Amino acid sequence: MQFVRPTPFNEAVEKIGEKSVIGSKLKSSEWSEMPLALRDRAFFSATIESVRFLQEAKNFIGDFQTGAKEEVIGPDGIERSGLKAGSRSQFVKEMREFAVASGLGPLNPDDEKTVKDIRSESRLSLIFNTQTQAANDFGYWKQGMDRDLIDEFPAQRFIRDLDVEVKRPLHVQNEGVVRLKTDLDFWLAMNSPLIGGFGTPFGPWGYGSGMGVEDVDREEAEALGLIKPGEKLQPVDKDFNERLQASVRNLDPEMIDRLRESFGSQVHVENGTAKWNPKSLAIPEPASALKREVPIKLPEQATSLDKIVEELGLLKKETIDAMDIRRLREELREANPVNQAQVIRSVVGSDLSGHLKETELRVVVQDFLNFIPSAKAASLPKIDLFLGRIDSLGSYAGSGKVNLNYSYFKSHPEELKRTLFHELMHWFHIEGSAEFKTAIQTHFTERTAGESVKPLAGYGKKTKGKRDKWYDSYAGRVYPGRADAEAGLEVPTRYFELLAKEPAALAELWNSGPEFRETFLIVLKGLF
Amino acid sequence: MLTVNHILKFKDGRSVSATLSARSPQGDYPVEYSGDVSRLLRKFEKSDPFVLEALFKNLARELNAELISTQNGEFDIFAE
Repeated sequence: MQFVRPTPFNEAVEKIGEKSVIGSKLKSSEWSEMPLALRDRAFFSATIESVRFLQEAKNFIGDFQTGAKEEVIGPDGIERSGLKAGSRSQFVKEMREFAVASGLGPLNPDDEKTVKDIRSESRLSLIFNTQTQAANDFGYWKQGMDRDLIDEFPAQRFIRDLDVEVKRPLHVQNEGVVRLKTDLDFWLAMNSPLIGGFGTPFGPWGYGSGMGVEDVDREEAEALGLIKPGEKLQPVDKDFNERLQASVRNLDPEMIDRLRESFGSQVHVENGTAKWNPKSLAIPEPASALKREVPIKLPEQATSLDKIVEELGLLKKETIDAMDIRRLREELREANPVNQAQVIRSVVGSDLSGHLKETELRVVVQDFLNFIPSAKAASLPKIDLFLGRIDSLGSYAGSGKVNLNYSYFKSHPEELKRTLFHELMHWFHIEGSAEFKTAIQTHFTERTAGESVKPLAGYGKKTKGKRDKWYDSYAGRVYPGRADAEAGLEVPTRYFELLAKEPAALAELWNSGPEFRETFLIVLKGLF
Repeated sequence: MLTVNHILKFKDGRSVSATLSARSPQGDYPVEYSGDVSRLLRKFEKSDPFVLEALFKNLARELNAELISTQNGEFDIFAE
């Protein structure tokens, strides 16, 4: 029997729920010096003393995790059921309004609009990302400790999920390393406070680390010599809980003084053992001016591309720059993307080493999945990646089968990401929703009306299509003989693969004219 | 190999040119610039043919210059 990690994450929901809201002036570095068990069980944000603000943030994230719904009345007077807390952008908007209404902001005016400003997008996004990732990663870890699951997937690989500007040397050193899930010392070292980590054996692996883990099955773990055939592992969640408890026992008087000074009545210390004081955490009903107002909106508008584009002001600007594209990409990223390990069924290649490691392939697939709603990704066929001798750079053979040119990428790995984004978009488009297919086909038909099929310049005489004003003529390719010959099969691929490019390059294309923007936005709408 | 060339001709008679040769549309390749390069408001050291074309179209508009573009050859390989 094959086990996969189940969803939804009750463990993740419970993790958020059991946290105590703790307001404090402490900076991140000072929080990292506090006993691990207190940190692990606190919902806090560095330097934020407003318990009311933190409670509001916790409520939102709790609603987000549970997918809580509410009835809202739209402008047409019709009552509909919609998500109470639908997205990071909604979190940023609502919490910013709450912070402004509460008079929260940095003491130093120079810190305005920086990550030190609780009203800033960067700070609020950081809170949302860190809290949701922490809950989800705990959920994955806790589920991974299930006896049946740990037997089937006894190890995990430490992987880079996101390319970040400042990589921790210890993480770089251990990228791709596979260790047993029960190797607490190794996983705690990867998340050590000494390198800015959170002191847990699960992610996040420090602010902005870009690191993640993927499950490794028994067959591979045995091949790596990590576990013997038939050997049973003992889950270590209780061992970790013991370590947590130990961190708040037998505290020295100096630490007790620091806790009382930092948290006042929020912390209770008895016989040298500290815990959060539930009696001090009762929060009075917020004043009506501060009450969370849920904006009335139609459900389909909750996380629309139109809203993101409007909020970023992209269509109002004469030209946009790399920063605008970075912000757009950030908004397009899913808060809870599906893990590639849940989507990739197999990776087959003759010699996956050097520049072309399986880990690298999985990282690129994850980069792609980060833009795809997890429910949509989970509904598609599992992916089989094959690296071998093929005539093209890559091709999509249907039913999740993605072929890549092994020898080409062995010598030109820098072209892998864009190619893989291209092929995975075929997977998303061809196997995906009828609505997306219709939108693309309609756009293709309208844009190429009256055009005849001709060889596409630069692609050989056999490659034919309708040139139109696509940024690359290949987007107009038609496939004679196929039922979907003129369905615009290469429109989503060619435009979506641009998300793998440098933001400055994509900004030039965006600024090149309305034809590019129209198609690009139609393709991106398929993500919602 | 697909080779593209773009020339911006300014009203004062000066010009700047960029040439790029690409094996595939999925890669970025070195761009060779010549002429009055200092007139360019921005440039890419490496690019694909499409972004280079967009860059020169945008620069032509911003600098009020004439754009002459040519394309020769074919890609050796591409993602299908």
